Amino acid sequence: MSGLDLDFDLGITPTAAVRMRKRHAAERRFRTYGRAAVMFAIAALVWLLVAIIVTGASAFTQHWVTIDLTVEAKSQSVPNDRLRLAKGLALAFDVPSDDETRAELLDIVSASAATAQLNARNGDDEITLTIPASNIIDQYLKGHIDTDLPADQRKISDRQIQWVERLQAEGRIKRRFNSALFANPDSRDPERAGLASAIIGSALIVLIASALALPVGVGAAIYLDSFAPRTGWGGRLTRVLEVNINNLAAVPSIVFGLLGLAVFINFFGLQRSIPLVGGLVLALRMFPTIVIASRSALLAVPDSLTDSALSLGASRMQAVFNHRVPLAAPGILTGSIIGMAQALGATAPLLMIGMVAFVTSMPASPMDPATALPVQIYLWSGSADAAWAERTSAAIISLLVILMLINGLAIFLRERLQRRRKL
Amino acid sequence: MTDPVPIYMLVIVGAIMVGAYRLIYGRAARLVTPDMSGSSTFHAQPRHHARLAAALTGLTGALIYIAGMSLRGPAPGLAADALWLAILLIVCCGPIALAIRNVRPNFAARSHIERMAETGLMLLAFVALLTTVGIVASLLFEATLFFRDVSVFEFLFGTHWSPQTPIRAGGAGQSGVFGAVPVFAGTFLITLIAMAVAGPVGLMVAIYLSEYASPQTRAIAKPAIEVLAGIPTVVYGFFALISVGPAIQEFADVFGANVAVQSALAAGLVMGVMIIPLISSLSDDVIRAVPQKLRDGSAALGATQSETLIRVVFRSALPGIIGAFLLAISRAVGETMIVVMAAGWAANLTANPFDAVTTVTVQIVALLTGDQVFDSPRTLAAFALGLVLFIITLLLNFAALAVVNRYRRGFE
Amino acid sequence: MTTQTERPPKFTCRDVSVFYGEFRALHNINMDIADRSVTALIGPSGCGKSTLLRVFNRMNDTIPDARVSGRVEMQGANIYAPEVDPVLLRTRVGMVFQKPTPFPRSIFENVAYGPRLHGLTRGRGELNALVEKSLRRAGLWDEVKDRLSMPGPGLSVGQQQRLVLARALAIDPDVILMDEPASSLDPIATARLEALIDELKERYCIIIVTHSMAQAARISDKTAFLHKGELIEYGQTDRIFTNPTDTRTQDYITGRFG
Repeated sequence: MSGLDLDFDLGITPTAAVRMRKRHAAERRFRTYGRAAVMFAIAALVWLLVAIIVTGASAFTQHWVTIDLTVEAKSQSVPNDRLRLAKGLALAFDVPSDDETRAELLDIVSASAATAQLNARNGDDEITLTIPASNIIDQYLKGHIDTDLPADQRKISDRQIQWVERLQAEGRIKRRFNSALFANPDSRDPERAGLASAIIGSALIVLIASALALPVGVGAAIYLDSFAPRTGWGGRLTRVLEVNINNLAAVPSIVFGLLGLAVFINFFGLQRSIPLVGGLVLALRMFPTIVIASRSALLAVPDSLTDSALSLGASRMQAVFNHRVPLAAPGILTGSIIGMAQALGATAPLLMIGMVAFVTSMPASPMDPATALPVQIYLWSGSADAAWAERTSAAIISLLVILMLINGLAIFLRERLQRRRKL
Repeated sequence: MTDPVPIYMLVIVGAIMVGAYRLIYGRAARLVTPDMSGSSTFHAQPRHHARLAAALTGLTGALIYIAGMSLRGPAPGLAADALWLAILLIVCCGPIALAIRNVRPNFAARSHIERMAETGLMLLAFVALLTTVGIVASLLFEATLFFRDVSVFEFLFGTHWSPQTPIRAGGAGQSGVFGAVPVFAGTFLITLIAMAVAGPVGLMVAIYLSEYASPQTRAIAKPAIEVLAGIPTVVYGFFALISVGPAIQEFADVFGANVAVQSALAAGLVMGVMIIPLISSLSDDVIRAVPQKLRDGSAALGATQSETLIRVVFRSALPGIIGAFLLAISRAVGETMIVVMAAGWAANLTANPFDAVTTVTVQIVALLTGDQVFDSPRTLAAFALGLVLFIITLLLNFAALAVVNRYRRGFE
Repeated sequence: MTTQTERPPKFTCRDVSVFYGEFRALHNINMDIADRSVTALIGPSGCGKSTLLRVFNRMNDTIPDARVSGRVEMQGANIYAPEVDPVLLRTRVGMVFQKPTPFPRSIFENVAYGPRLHGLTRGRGELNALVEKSLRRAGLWDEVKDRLSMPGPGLSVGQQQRLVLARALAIDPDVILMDEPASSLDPIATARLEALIDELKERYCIIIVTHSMAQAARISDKTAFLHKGELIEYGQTDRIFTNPTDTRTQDYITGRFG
């Protein structure tokens, strides 16, 4: 009775003690599984973010080259700017001007940027060009090209390496912020390709989609919450509507793209690949989400408030709009912003309505062909080149930053509005 | 902007509405005598009269606008536009005159405008119905056209999918083969892999975070899971392409196997990670809904925490968890970008996760982003696939709802 | 009645205090609980009687912020010693709650849950016998013996309460803790439960929390009155109710507060 042997005092047999140990071991194993699951999820997230950031960080800078060139005038034997450029480069590097050498020379700078500058000067000239390096040189200088491969498998030749090293020694290569990434539209040359068109397109699409989906969605939610009949035939109709909305929320987004293709483009004859159609399709996609989010915000408002207003002689419409909706406003706002963030990331429906086109100019209106940021990411991801890979990752980083800002805004506004309510 | 007239007309309609509002408001305000001795003799406030006037005028104007836009024709001329503008202005005088006449004490403008508003809200809710009808109609319509060329049986049960159909103008038969079984099989395989990852992990994450984790752990893990949920699928697809696919390649290389970057495994694994937050949050709701008293009862009988969780909590929450799984499967089946970028476009009928496979969603993209001739069997096939996709996700959604409803009834 | 001098006390509390975070729910409780008897804990709501009850089977451990100080001995052994497994303790000290919550399973499965968990029987025959014995002890066998596979929650509230009692008895504890077991029951079911408790006290140590003083007076041998986490008075039930020494006890019993 003195408590020396606790197990026996508690009346536990040795076999039960063994069983107890096994049960505790099972408990420990269970906890480990849980911890492992959480770590797996976090590790996956970290791997994803690190991979994207590591690949994409270098795309925010671009190497620029300054060269002094002596170019000939345009003539019969030198009919285009590319040839003038090539010959000028050959002269500058003191190498023979044969076809193979000229091809290699043209490959060390952004030929299109250079020829654009040369176009204005038609005569014999001494000019100084400051242009982006070619994507091969840019990648080489960033260390992305495997120089251990034999010469015929490599992307950069020995001669090109020599020339680059010479330029570097002369201090002619500078690494600058890659403003082209945000200022330029898409382009065939990676060094000149940018997200401007995609960002404007996305902005137009999200704006149009929100302008349509938010009023309609919030209005529908208000109707279902406060005005829809609950009994009889009207009640059945209400339930049909509610089931409908829940189903629409679960429909894959690509089906909305098919709907857009069949109805807006094929039936109504709207143009492909324009932000207006993209906005319409994404508005339909956003609509169920907004309704569901607004409804749960409205449901959280106690009925007693509305009832008090009604008992003071307010009409139903007044009670709802003056009391219920304002209290639900923070939740509705947050839901709307999150819906907009989802619309920003939507890709498949836009592919369906033809936004895979290669658009090299900026859209001036919702009726001009455009692309969207996630679609641009998809298009760039298709090229295996290291230059495109790093730009795709940079585009992803930009998209994630924008999404983070939007979600942060939603959280901030919700806190602010809720604090105001506390009085 | 090529044609500014539609915008100008819209602005004019808006201006007329504002004008009507102002006019009627002023009139109603003048006619209402502020009667301090009790109730005013008016049934409605000036703003109600004004809103009613604006609404009626707006509706009239909108109708004329739509009529004008549809009848405008391909080459709108200045004369025709001027005519429509005149019609607009003249016809809109009608509602305004009516409203002026109705500014009198016993006219219940407020009830009228509120009933109009309520009807308006109801119509907004009907957009949902309209959308569903639109989806079903367009899918059925185009799919029916497709099934005129390809038999339903061959489509659903054929095992050879090869849609490269050059268009032959007016050709009686097309040379594409549309047996969709490999496509369905690809969807099935990738969904299986994704659920094999997301199911156990999502469930254990939910259990661990709600039952075992310290507040510090929860403070890190919950936001991390929410971030996973917010990442666009195109980003996941790219991640699969540049990191997961090559990693699988190297892993297989260790065993001497030669595996492409694009495989069902790469797409399935990444899709699984994407679905984890969905299962985790749905399961978390269901697990929390199990009453604490049930857990206390089990603990008081000498059960360890895991025993209580498995024997009592999990068993009670099982229908809800099954519902969550069904919803997750529906999401996996409908997912597009991850598979487009990571799984490849070759229609392989295979059970090997290291092979490249294609799915229903990928084929829809492939068929519609190639040559764009509408009504060819290629594009119509996409709609047939879309119909199958829609039906399957609808069934899964209904099943999930049915399971959860039966579970709720069981608790009462 | 001097039954407690025949055997040593089942539980001994020395300076027991319970904290929920910063809040002190129990202040230095000192009391002995006798075996083979019914001890009632009474007091106004919030006085800590449920907390004290949960001290005896370490159910406070399941609450994250809870802390217990002092010494609680069961038959001489400190049940809060670090080497004591609370899971094992709960096989000796069973509990019945205020609102009966049978598991959403059959009646049989409910009673068999504990024995299965702890491996108390071998083979189906032994399990059946144990389930029957527990249901008989709980006074429920005659009513359910033909429908053991029916779901537990389908029973009436009174029957459910006896079912969870049978569930607790099935693992053969020494002690049964009851937290306001009759508060969900109608008077007839309450009377049945009290008759049951009267039978059970021959074999078990029963500690019961009740807000009904009439009930405490009817069924308990000793009564403890708690107020704001302190043990105000503790003694033979007849004496407490007829001749309390503390004015607070007097006030509570006569209904002045609580």
